[in-house]
Amino acid sequence: MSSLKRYFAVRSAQTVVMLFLVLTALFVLFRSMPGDFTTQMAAAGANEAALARIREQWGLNEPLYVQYFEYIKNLLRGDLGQSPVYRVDVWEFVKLRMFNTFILVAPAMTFTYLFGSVVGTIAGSKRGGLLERIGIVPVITTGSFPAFFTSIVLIVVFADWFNLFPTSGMLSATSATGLEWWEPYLSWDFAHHYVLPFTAVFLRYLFIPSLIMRTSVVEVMGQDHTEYHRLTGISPTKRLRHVAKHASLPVITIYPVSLARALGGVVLIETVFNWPGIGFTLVEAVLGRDYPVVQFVFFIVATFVILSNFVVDLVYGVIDPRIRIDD
Amino acid sequence: MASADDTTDSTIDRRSVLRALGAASAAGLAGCSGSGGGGGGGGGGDLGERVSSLQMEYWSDYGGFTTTQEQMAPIIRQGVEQHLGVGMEVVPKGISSQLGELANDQNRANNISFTWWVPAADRLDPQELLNNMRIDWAGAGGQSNYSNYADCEYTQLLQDQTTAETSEKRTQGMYETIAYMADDCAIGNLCPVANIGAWRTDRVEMGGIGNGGIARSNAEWAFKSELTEGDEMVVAINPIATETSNWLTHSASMPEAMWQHMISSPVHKYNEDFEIVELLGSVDVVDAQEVVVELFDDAQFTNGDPVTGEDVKFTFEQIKRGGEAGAYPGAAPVPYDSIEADGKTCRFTFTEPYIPFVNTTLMRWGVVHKQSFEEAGAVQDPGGAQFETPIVTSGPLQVTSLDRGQRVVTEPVDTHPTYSASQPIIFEAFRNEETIITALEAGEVDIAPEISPPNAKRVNEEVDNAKAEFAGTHTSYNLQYVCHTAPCKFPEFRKAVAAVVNRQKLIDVAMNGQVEPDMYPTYISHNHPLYPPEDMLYKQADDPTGSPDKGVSLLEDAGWGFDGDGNLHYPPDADLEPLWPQGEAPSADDFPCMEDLG
Amino acid sequence: MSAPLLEIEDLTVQYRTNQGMLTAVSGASFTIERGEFFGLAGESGSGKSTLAKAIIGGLDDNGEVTSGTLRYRGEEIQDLAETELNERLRWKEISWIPQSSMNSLDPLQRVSEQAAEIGRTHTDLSDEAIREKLKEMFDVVGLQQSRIDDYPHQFSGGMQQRAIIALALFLEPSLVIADEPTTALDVIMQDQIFKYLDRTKTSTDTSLLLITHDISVIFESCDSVAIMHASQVTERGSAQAVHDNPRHPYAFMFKEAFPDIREPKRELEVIDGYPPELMGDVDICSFADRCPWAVDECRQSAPSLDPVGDDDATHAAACVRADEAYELYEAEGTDPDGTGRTIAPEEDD
Ligand SMILES: Nc1ncnc2c1ncn2[C@@H]1O[C@H](COP(=O)(O)OP(=O)(O)O)[C@@H](O)[C@H]1O
Ligand code: SF4
Ligand SMILES: [Mg+2]
Repeated sequence: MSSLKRYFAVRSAQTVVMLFLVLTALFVLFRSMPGDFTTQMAAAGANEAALARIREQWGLNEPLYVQYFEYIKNLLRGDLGQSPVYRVDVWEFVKLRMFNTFILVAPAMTFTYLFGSVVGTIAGSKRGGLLERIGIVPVITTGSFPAFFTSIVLIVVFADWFNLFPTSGMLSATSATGLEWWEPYLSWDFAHHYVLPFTAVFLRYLFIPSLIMRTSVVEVMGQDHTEYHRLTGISPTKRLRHVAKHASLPVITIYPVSLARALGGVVLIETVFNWPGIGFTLVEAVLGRDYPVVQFVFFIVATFVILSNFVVDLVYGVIDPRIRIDD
Repeated sequence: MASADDTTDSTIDRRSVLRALGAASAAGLAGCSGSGGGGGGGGGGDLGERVSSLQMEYWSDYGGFTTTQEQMAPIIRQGVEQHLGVGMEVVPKGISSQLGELANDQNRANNISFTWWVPAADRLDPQELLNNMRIDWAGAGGQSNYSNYADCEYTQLLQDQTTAETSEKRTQGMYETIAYMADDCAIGNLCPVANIGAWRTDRVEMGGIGNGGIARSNAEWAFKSELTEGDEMVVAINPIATETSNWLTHSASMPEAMWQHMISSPVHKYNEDFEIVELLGSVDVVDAQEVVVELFDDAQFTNGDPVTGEDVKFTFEQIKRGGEAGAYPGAAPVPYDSIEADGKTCRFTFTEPYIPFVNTTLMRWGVVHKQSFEEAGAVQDPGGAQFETPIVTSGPLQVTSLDRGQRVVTEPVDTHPTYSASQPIIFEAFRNEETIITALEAGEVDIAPEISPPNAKRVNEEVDNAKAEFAGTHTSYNLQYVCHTAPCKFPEFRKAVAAVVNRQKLIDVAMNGQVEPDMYPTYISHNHPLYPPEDMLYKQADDPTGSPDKGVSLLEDAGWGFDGDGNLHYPPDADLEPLWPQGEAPSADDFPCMEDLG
Repeated sequence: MSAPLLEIEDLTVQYRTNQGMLTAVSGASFTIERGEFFGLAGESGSGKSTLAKAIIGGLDDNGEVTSGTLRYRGEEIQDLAETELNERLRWKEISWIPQSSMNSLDPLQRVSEQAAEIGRTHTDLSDEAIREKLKEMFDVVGLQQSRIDDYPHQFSGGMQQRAIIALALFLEPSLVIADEPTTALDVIMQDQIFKYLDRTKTSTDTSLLLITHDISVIFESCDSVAIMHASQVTERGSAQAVHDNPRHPYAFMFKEAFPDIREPKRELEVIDGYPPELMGDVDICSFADRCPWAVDECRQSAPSLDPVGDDDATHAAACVRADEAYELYEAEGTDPDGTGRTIAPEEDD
């Protein structure tokens, strides 16, 4: 137990240091891009005198380290600041968008990983059939198209030709005003809008778990303990379950990172489907140098990756006794 | 043999031929076959340093406009390389990086910024754009003289017109300011920016397009169009306008115009044909230092409250407050002496003559509802205030719901004295133009303002029941020369570049041939309501396809020359030093007016 | 008299490879009686494991019994389907100690879990009874009973091997196939395991197929032996007969390649070259290229396993010169032509 505690303590300390480094890196990175958030305002026709005041108010004329300490100080107080572009509190500004992205990506990626693991297991265990051998081809093919292409094809076919789904958006204008914020997400209207983007994410990313799982299954199938399982005469289903359990380890490892990458990577899908997620906002925020928004979102993504690696370690421990922490 | 007005891309070295003609020397013709001896402008001894390759930067992250620029850039380059014997490298850059570097004088590799300016409604007064050429905003101060154009006389003219005594004098002063800049060819013009929009012809009876075009900077179509099918007019916009209910904090022109001119109403403004219409009241320019607004009796807010002089007074005081608080990026300093309200009247007085007020500040800002603003805490915290729906505004449309990142839902009200909308308008946020066109095709969108030429083409050619229309606007695509470093610090070089560009080809390739070229270097486009009479202006080229001979002779007359290989050289005695050291501003030694301007 | 436990008759096993059909076992024949300890010897690559896996239907995917028969208690089993093998043969009747027993335990399962899974599949025993049996067996192989719930990684290599042996024995099968079970064990442990196996031999009716490349182990502990060379059984018979009266050149040279406690001073023999990999049907003596006494006839057809000697009814050798080769060897050594062939020391796995 004490070593478990120590493990947690060490990991937590590591995590805090890591997050702090990430914060700092993000700060330096975005501040060192040319221009600041008043530049685009100026190009758009904002008044120079007003901008000078904005720069002053936001401390842009201060040396970088002063701005940095100010930023850290505010963060420690729990103050994420405001988007200087939209004048909205950062949290207020990003929370629904992050949720929208999350509600699209997390279920889609989870489903993709589960489904892909099955595809990979079947393809990797190659118990003869044609399906097993060529089943992976369409998966790779759809995965190799750019996301926007897949999305556009989905829209053209299912929204345009067959008119089964709306071309874009997340909720119809007419649906739901004055409800609790989460209620629209349970509506049919939402589900209706959800299908195509979900499918796009699925098709885009399915190849990753499928390929990893297939490779992994092939490898595990060749391992001695698999042969031993077979020769002890246990049923093929049980045997495949053992294989899948082993083979899933690399898939589990990559899942959270993949999820985090997808959170940032669905920007094209969000853009084409007009999904009000964080992706497009983030791109706009980077281009517009909306530092507080950009830093916060990247920070959240980094935190997500770091924490989920932590969780993966724990899950790993449950599955694989070899790396379990001694207690 | 090639003639001067030959517009095709001939394979022979046309510049050599033209130069030979200019020198009245038949030997020049031999030069084009590569003998290289006799064609040069008067022999090697007269040549200065060779002009090294130019760098031209454009904005790589601005959606459809980037596409347009990418279609135009090779044509510009071709003109310069082919006719002037100078190489050109076209460099993509993010707009924030590009402008940020130039505003801080951090980028001296760039020679020409290939820019364009949003046809914002408030740019119907050239003041703001012309300010970008002021000497006191040049150099490393972070201010918006991206050209680093430093000219005391120009700046003086600019300031003088601002404080002119009468509207007529101000207009005349504006013309002279522009004409001065044109003479110097401080900034090159290519063609107007087009406002392009599309609509479903089977669902919408479109009106109000005019010169303003289907863009939110021209609010008119929102009131002059009518739905022929369906109950709500869905207008596709980018998400920016949906991000905040505190619309005075917007800095991007189109979202701002939508809030200020569709949802709110200024006292008066330009209509789609660039004629002034009185919306909430009449405007009387008593003299250069006094303007009186007389509100119409039936001017009301969306909640039925009358629009009073007090509201107008509050509006402009609030803008001043917001500007000073760093909350309203659009707030320009105005030399107010006092603002007095009395019933339906509001009187503005200025400490100095300030004619531009009526066509800039007064036109730009919609009148706000004093009570709502006070209740929302906008007085104490102009940036932080948010407004509950339904939002009380002075325009013909009332915002009934606002979903961040998704949509602004508006209902028509009949409280506006001048305009009314025929149906609810839903401004639906889209993240991508292609998606908009698909949604337009699917009938999910009725009007798609602010689209790019390729998508306009797609609409016209591929989408049934939809039409796209171009309107040449009051702003332009410009060659924004970097004027403090060689070679663009030399006016003759700027003029030469401006002369050789084939504007017609740019328009044919990138704008579906739908606008007229800008033939004069005026910063604003020829469609601008304050465009000076052409006879006051220096003409960039004699022909829309370019005047290469003019370009070459401008240079040769100023002592530039070409070597045997046709490369351009500076005059032997040219001073190639930048006008000031990098990281500094123009010095008072070189530019005496800096003494006063600081 | 009831049928022998296992009869292998003219068995040929081939692997599909990119180069064609690789013959790993060719025309092998021998019989294992109930309670008999049978040793299968030969250099690495000679086909021993292939033969063993063929018995429990465990050939790799590309392997196939192409001819011959396998009879278990008189019933042909070479064509049994996977499910039948699982239900009737594997572990219930025949268990297996894999060659690579260090990696054969599932690292994600406790040994007891794995045992429970096997036990539930093949018996009606309760989980508790299965645990008890496993515990007993742990005792036998020298592991603490309390460690049945350990994961494989908590054991050393040798302990894993013992656990594997325990798993092979705990359901009391009729035939245990041990594929080089001692590779990773130290000598003392080897002895202990064999002593246990010896004990079970006397108390139950368990037969053992012991595969090894170390023939001296077989002579010490087995009743019968078969020696394989490149897919062919070269000689078989009682351990005594083959030890005392070897007939096949490969058999006696191979035997002489190992130290023998009965002849401690003898110089060790070294067989030149490597067993060939044989593609297609094998219709020569596979030892011909390495055999000092090879004659043309050796390459004309695969010599048949013919009875030799009169010491033992099962003693047979597959050599055209089975009658004379050993005498020649005794007389001239391995250099009958005086070509002075060098005898390079060769290492076996
Ligand atoms: N799955 C397989 N595919 C192809 N060849 C194989 C396969 N397994 C074994 N072999 C070949 O069959 C021959 C016999 O191998 P094996 O039975 O493992 O020999 P041993 O157990 O005597 O060392 C060797 O040449 C080996 O390379
Ligand atoms: S003598 Fe011939 S048959 Fe006998 S082992 Fe030698 S090669 Fe084989
Ligand atoms: Mg083996």
